[in-house]
Amino acid sequence: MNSRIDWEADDFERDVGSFAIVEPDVDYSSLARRLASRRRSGIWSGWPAIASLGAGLVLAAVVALNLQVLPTQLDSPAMDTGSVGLETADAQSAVPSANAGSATAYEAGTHYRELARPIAGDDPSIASLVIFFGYPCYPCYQFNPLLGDWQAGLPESASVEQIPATWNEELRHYARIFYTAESLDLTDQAHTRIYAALHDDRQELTELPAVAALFLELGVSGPAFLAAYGSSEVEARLQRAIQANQDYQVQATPAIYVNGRYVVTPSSAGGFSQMLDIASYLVLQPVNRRR
Amino acid sequence: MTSRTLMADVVNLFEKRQRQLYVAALAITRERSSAQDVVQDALLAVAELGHQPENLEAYLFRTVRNMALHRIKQQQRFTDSVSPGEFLDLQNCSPERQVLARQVLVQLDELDASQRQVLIMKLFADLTFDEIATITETSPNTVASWYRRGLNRLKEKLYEQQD
Repeated sequence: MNSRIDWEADDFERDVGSFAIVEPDVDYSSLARRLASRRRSGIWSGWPAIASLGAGLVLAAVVALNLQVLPTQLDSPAMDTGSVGLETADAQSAVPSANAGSATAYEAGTHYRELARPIAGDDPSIASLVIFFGYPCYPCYQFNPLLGDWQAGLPESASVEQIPATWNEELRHYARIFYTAESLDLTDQAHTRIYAALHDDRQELTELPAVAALFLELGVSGPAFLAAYGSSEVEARLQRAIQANQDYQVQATPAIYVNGRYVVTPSSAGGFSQMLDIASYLVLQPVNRRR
Repeated sequence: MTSRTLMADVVNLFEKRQRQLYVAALAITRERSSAQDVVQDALLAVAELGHQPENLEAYLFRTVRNMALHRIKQQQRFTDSVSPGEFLDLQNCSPERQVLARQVLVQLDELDASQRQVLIMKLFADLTFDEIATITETSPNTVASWYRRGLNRLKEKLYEQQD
């Protein structure tokens, strides 16, 4: 059989264009509707408390309730991402009920997910929150500034740990950088600086000299950085992170795991601030403690 | 503009253009799961904006594009080679069409990046030259030129494959 194809003038374009592409398995418009629905619920949840104020105060409160902590980018496309993928498990979940926005309206399977196999902790009386993140992950970069104030509002007994995602070589590289900073007691400064380097400055941090230069800015000499980076301590922390990624079956970032039983993601919660609200709700519920 | 208005516009936009947004990402990543992630990231990034961009549609497409470009740049630092993107659905193709599809994928990979991206967006998402020009921040004439050259080059290479 002669399989050679001879295209006429316009046939080639039509022929090639007739191939179908592999379609996404995410319904983005449903996801957008869910985000919009949750945003509307969050706006209206404060109204009963301020309903008695005058119209001008009500309007001001609506504006205040709408303000987000995240930086805005006016007409400037969001640059950079290294997002490692957002959890899609909840993308097809039902739209929240009419009371969504109040604590009693948070539902497993909708706003958060229950782990099929809970992770046992060392001390079930201590509430624990584990936040998985990735430096290349743009949503993680947007999410990070919200964490400080949120953590300050948690019960003193709650433990919060950030663990880098490690499911590919790129992420393990950045995880090692995270633990290097941790071993040098520079976690907070390095954390912010690394996010800014990747997402604001669009630096490449894939080669060690560039990473060493960043640590030099933080007051760490080249030899000290290299010693920490290659230390057995950092290696051990990395291996624990890899195990944690496997135990929690982390598939996307950012993600908050509460008490080893529940996971909240931006897509399940409907946004970053909602994610923190739901995590706070879950950690404070006595019945949700691990057994 | 309140974020409620922004979200309503985002919902409308995704209802009308989600496929084009996905293909705009696919044109760069050439791989479904990365393209999916990029579009979701862009959705969340736009949903968190405190202000409505002047042209939300253009903003969203450019966000998708920039995120996709950054993603492949990050990924390519850690891989020795990138295999041709397998983003065509061959399930319902005859064996001959599957052969041609694979040749198209290989030869698309050999094209200049600009030509490849424009071809994918035009051929598989029916984006116009004007829309592609807005997304890539170039002129429609430049886009048209990339398209023609890319298409001719693709055709030449496919003919060579058959010889």
